[in-house]
Formats: sequence, C-alpha cells, structure tokens
Amino acid sequence: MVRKLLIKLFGIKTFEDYKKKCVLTPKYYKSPKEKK
Amino acid sequence: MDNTLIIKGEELKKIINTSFPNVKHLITSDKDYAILDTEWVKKHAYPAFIEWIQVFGFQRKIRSSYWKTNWDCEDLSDSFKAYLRFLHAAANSHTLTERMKGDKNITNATSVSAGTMFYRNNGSKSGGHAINIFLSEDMEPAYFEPEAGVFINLNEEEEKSTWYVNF
Repeated sequence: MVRKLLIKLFGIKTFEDYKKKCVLTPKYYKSPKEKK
Repeated sequence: MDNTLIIKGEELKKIINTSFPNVKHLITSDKDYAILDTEWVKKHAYPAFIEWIQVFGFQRKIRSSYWKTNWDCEDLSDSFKAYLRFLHAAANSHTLTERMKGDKNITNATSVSAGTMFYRNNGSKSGGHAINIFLSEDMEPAYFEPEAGVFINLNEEEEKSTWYVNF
C-alpha cells in the first residue's frame, strides 16, 4: 500500500510500467483473401 | 485460421535478389515471415523499442541520434530487428502441442518481416550504412532508418550498392 502510494507520488516507474510500454502485440497485415 | 499476410523464405529471397542485384550476402534463416504493418512499426514499435533500450542507459541522445562509437548503425538496426522478433515470439507463444489442444496464436509464421541491410551512402566506395528493411503490404521493400525512426527512400545507386541483407 505504502509502496503503491510512493510510486504514485514520486512517479517511480515499476517493472510493470516498463513491460506495458515495451511488450507490445505486433500488428500484421491481413492476407488479401481474408479481407474479402 | 491464420489470416495474417505471410511470405515464404524462398519468395522473400526472390524479392531481395530482384531489388538488390549486387547483393553478396543474403540470409533468410526462417521458413516463413509474417508481414508487419509498417505504420505500426513506425508509430508504435519504434517508440517502444527506444523505451526498451533505456534500461541499458541509452536514453541520452548524442548529437540528436542514438549513435555511439561502440553502438552504431548496425547495432541499432540489429537490435531493432531482434526486439521485433521478441515481440513476435511473445505474442505467438503457443507450441504445436498447445495448438493441438485448442490454443491459438495470432500467426504461426516462424518469423517476422524485419531485416537488416547494408548499403553504401550515395554509392560511396568508402563507407557503408546499416538500416532496417521491411515489406509493404504489396511486398515491396520498405527502408527504415532506426537512428531517426522514419521510413526513407534509397536511390537506385544505393539499392545497387546493397551487399548484405539478413532476415
């Protein structure tokens, strides 16, 4: 609880923040057959 | 059903050989490649990659670029390519056994269409430059400068000077 409050107050980046920013789901083009 | 646009390694080789007639080292190490949306690469993946490398202390730009003497153009393009492969593997992590039990990946392609290439700036004989290469939706090469995070054009001379392409 205190940890969460300190993180929020001082804007400390957590591993979860870092992961959320860096581990993205790739976007691929769709096969033309599937678009129809 | 996997509805992702995919290119086979052999077809990719043909495109590279046609686009770069003087290529000496052409490596396509995977069976097939899912084609990444180039808009997503520029707008989402690249900023996330820059965030990712901050853990190594690369947050400070030197002369408005990420270039360092011991981490230059080929390191930057190789690491962006590796980062995209990490994302691809993480997002499609289900093994064949898991898939047989019903789990589904976005795509089962063995890799993504993110490569590195070396060419000579303006056909210069002295120095080379490394960038990333992707494929557009219509399977045309798309050149990405990872020092600036933008897609660029290469002139005919630069395309002809390309001697190394690695997917």
